[in-house]
Amino acid sequence: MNIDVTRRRMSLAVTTGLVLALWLAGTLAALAGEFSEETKNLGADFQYQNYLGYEGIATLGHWGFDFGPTPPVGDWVTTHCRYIDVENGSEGDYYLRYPIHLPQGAVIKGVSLYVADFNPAGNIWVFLVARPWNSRELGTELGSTVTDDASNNDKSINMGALNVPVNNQSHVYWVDVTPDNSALPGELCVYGIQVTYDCTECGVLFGDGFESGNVSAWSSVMP
Amino acid sequence: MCFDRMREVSRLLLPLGIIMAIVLIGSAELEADDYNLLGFEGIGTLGSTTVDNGPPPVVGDWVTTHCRYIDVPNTLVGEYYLRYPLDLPDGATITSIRFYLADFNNPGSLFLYLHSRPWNSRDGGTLEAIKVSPAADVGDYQIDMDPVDVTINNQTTEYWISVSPTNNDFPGQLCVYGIQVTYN
Repeated sequence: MNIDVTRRRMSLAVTTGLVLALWLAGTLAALAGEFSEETKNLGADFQYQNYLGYEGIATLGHWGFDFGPTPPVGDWVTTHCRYIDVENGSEGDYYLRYPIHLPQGAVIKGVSLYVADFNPAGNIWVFLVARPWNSRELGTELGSTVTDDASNNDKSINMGALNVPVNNQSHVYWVDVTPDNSALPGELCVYGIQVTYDCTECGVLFGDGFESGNVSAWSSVMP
Repeated sequence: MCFDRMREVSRLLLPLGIIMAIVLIGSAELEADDYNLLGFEGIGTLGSTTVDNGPPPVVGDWVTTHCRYIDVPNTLVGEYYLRYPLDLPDGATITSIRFYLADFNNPGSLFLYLHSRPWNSRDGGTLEAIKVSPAADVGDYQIDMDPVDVTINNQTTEYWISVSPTNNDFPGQLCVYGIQVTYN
């Protein structure tokens, strides 16, 4: 009798122990997952997206053309630097276009480029542009920068402090690079682009008046 | 006797439970994700073995199978590349890369590379991993770059996959259907 009771108690203890162990394991695993996600978000409020120079899509600019075939591009081989391969282009004649794909709710804080400007008089102009995705608008300039003529070398150029909330439901975004060059178009080229963005609010919905005080774009206004 | 055995068993179960918890936590931490690239995403570029700079090479596509190739005959490895930019989350660790290719060329091959470089540099790139498809005509073929151990830091570094053919008169015999990058 005593042995039976003890066996039953032990059996109950073992079963309970197993259930508890499994529950504990599951809970800890879930917590670990959540914690690592939160840590990722907390530790990387500012995130970075890089674009190779090669990703630039050559297009015509509206200063020089109504429509037509896209311009040729050239690449520096060992350094991975892309350029518009047309001589004597002016700013706005030709573009390398880099589509920007960021998460909903991201806020663009900066756009930096690493470029070569070995052209004594020429420059590389850079613009951050957006337009409603379902429109034929030319695009709205949200930021810009340009290389200087101070020295002919590789340069980092930055758009400075930006604060552009990304709303992919309503808008498309891209970076335009347009050269003002001479007889040597390869002297102005793009190695890479880095977009810095704040992802604290990524994935939180607009339009319901709950997550933000503004229904169409991010603001610090409380609901 | 029986009681002692039970006590022993229950004593053993505690560390077992702890081990199970650790294993489950570990598996939650190491959950893998995949990032797919279409063959079409390959950007045709020149390689460093022939010229300094110039126009990118022509690429070709197989239409119904969505397979992209460098459309230049009689190339050697390093002359032309399809470049696939990688856009992975900060902190992700690439653990393997699978390529689905067509290699109907004998003795041609596709050379497959994972490259990185500081984003704001003119470095040629650091070779992180390499794989080569067989010289024989093997038809449609999956080749795995495994293991890979590259942790993504987008603040400092950019990453891409390079595919370079060594072919003959039929460049379309070596093409890329798609690439799958697995990361934790």
